Amino acid sequence: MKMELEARDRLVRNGLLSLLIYVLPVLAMFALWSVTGQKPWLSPPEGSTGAWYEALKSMGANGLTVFTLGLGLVELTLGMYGKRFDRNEKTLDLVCYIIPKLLIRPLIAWVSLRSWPALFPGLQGNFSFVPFWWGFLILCVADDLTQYWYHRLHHEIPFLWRFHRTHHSAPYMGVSVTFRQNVFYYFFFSQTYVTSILVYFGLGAPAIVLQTIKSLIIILAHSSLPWDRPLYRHAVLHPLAWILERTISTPATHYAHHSDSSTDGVGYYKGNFGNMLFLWDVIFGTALITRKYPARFGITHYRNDPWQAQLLWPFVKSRVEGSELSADGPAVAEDLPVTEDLANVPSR
Amino acid sequence: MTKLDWAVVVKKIAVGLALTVIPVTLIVGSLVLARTLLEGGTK
Repeated sequence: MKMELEARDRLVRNGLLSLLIYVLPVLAMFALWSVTGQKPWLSPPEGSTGAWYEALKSMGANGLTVFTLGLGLVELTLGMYGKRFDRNEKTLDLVCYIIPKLLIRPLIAWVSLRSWPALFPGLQGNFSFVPFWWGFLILCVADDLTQYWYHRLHHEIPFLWRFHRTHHSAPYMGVSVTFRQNVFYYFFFSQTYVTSILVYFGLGAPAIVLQTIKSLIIILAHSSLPWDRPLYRHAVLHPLAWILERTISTPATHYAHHSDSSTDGVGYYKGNFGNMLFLWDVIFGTALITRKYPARFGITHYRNDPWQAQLLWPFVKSRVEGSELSADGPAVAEDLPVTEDLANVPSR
Repeated sequence: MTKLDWAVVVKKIAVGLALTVIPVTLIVGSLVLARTLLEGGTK
């Protein structure tokens, strides 16, 4: 009980600090304009920002799909998903990749296009005077801090956990895990709507760049190819590693979040919630940085719940007795001790 | 879907809504307020 109260107090303290962090970029921007006497809304900046912007825009439109599928193919070819990537897991990962593209994203776009003009009439493009890089900074905080909280609350509030469990049930890491989500978790992603509203207000160009960079970082943090390993092996790269691992999600810190243990000194599913930016975990004290990779991934009590239940819970329930997704299962099950038959032998 | 399931879904939507409304209100509110102050202060 004492721990629960402590956890609740920490949530409140961190939440209050977040309110300040959300407005910091806006305050900094206007503080600068106040000193320099600038009034950008009198002469809004030009739309385009150069060739690099067009390249990132193109990358976001088509390149990410090619990159994701290519990386996934490399992982599959090298057998990096391990022995527990069975038919049920493959189907779940595949459906979770396809459904958002075909149904959920178009639905979110439709909802946004209908809702924002109705909720904020006449305000479309009202903040298009915000310069590109200030807009990028505002969106970085707005989008990624919101996702940090969305993610953290699904771990720390018991009734929310089962909506996020699908992402953690994978007993392996890989590109496909990035997209492995229950449909409710995906559809109600708060940061999607926050960014969408800010795009309506005129921050469209920075949003395109942000989404491309963010997607790359998140995909690479889930991939079973640990790109950060050389940074820890060579002493000359340690200063760069120190900065990177505190700024963005790396395979080491994000694998730790997907570990089936929080007690072995490497795994830490009770923290490392950051998605694009790891900075939030550092600020809020939820970070564990070890530069090591966990031996096992997933959930100790996972018994291959059918993919339909993992995708559509609570509409579809699991038939696995005692599962958190079954009709009479617990909201949060206790961790089980790991035995040989449970341990998934990592391919690395 | 039982009544309990619906209650969980409704609570989940409420959390999601709060996580959308709070950042948008803070950011849009601070943008409007700061611009108003800057315009007023330099007239």
